[in-house]
Amino acid sequence: MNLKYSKLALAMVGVGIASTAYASDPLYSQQWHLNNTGQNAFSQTSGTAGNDLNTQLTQAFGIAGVGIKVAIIDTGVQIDHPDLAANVTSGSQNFISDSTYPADYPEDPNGHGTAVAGLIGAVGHNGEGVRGVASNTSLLGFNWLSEQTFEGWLISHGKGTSTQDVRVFNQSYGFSPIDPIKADLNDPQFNFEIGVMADVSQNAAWGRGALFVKSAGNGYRYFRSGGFFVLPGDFFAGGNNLGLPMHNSNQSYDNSNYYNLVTSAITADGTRTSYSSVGSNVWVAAPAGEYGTNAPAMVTTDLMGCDAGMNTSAGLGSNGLHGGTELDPECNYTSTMNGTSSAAPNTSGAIAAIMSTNHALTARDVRALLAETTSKTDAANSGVSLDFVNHAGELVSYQAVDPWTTNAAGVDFHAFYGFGAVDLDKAMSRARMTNNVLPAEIITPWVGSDLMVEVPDASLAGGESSLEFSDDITVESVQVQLTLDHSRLPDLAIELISPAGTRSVLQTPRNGLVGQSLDPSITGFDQQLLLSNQFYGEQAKGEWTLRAVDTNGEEQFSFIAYFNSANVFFVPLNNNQEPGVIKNWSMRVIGH
Amino acid sequence: MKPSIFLSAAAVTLFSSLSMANGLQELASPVEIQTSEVVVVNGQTFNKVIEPSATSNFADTVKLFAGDVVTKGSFSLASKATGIIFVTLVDGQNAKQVAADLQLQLVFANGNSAVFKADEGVDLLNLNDNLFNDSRIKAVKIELANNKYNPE
Repeated sequence: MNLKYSKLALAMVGVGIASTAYASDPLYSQQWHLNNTGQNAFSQTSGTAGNDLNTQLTQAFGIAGVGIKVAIIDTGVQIDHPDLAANVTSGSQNFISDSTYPADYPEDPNGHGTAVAGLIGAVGHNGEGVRGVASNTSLLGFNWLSEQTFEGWLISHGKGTSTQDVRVFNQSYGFSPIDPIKADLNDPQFNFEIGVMADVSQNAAWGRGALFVKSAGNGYRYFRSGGFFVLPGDFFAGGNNLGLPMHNSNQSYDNSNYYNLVTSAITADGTRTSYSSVGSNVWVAAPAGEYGTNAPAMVTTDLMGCDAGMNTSAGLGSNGLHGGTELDPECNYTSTMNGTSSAAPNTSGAIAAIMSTNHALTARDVRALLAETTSKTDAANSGVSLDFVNHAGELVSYQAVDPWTTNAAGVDFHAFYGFGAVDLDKAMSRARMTNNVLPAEIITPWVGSDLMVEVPDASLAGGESSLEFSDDITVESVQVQLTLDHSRLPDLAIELISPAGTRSVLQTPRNGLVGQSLDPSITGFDQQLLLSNQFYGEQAKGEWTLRAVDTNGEEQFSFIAYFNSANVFFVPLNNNQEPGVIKNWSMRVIGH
Repeated sequence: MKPSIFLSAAAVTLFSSLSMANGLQELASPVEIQTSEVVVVNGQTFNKVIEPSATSNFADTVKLFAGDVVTKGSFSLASKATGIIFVTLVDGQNAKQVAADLQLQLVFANGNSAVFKADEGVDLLNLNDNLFNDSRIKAVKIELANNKYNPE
């Protein structure tokens, strides 16, 4: 059946649909994320052909996103942009209180949201600029990032009159804390936000539900936390934090929220981008690229005119497109957009396309289908191994990021890429063949353990605590809440091991949870929320083990707080050599 | 009320000025808040920023109004009280009725979660205590907004 369908599709391409699909968007040929032919996307180097979203048949059929509403929750969207306007539907909202724009025009003072909108749903085949992944979808814009009020959050995240039938919410934003954050389910605000997202995910759009797509973060090398950047202590000496991420995506509690589908970012060569945050909570990876100068970034819509956005007259020379060049004399497009902010909308566009090919699928079905049709990118990646001197003075090695591993259910996973790179045509093909991907969802109660377990300083042995899980269900995701006292959190790796023996590193060591240096009242993790997708398809019943490993016995570990070149602070975290203590932990399974 | 030094973390040292060649975006310099008073909001201790022009008007009892700014120091984002209050209701309670009884605006309700808004000029700390002591309410939290999310 699959084969016949593909032949039919190829035949359609052969009789002329292809000429429409490929010819009429002038910058399409440089949009490597849609069709990577090895083009350079106006940068100095080329990508590797084939590393893309695999959109050829989807583009040819031309049904990408028809009838699906996508909300762009961002800095705003220039909804009268010539390459967006025809796909913009009513219901956008302007949250900026002193804006001179109308209430239904989500002014974009930054340009970020307009670039995101183009990746999702720039109009296709209109003789203008670029094409979105879902080039026939319906777009709404909300400039909530420009003024982050609670009412704005509510409206833009599915509880406004215009967002009740939205099926995809794109959230190309995040925050990266340096303090562990208590995910207290008794906290009314936390409880409220999770409750709204659960309700919208399950019940929006007349019961089919909606998906919240979320960027993983741009913090692999360093990250911004509030008013400054958090850099590893070796940054200005040319170090790279021993190859480990400063921001593990699980550090941000909204990224360990099950209702957010978290995406990491890959280059035009199919490898992790230099900046992408990673973690066991990543669901899929999608193209985003590097910076558009040395290596390809995204080619997408920009604020109109040469005096606004990323592409301005002043940008001449940064790459081949910017600065009012012949290809884009009005500076309406950019070729320097990147970030997990780009991976998220490319995923959102793919989801909109999948939903449009079979409107009967629930949001959860589409989420599963996306995971089950990914491709294994950067297959030879070996992960990250951390060498350290243990308490006995021996040099030992800890595998902090695993290479691609296959779990007991036969599912491949890598913390850099989740289940792998989005493969749109494969997902579309599968979506046409089924109306029911998964059985009904089960979310188990939290099951906990209160044992006090010591975590020895600088020892691979670590501290372990196990609990028996009695629910006989199939895992989709696992969430953990952890309370653990430790005087220097970046020393710790946190692992969860399933009954089948699959190990998932929930938190990598040498991370940027460095807030204890500034606030000594922080004793460690207090109900820290962590999530793993690595056990997908395994059986939940049996013994689960949480393990904490202290990987650093050195006297001093430090980070750099960078405000600007005149205000750079070197902040040490001393090691007291006292063992940590796992005070309690609990877990729940989302599955079927 | 007391003057506050916010760059007081022990052993923090300032690098000599670095060139901008590292490619990092230049952000605003940390600001030392000169005048503040300690306030406990949602169980956490903050410094409430006092505008110089208001120094003669401070009261013995610390109050918190919508629009007031609190911070934990120069390494933390300043947060603003918005007048929004999150509550978890005891099962079976009607959010609309509770809001009406307490002269609050009901912004939204979802299950036993509700969001109220207080009028301007209402002391949010006092309101928080009143809500906490109301038998129909299980938990209360004052919203402190800080625009913490950034485009990624």
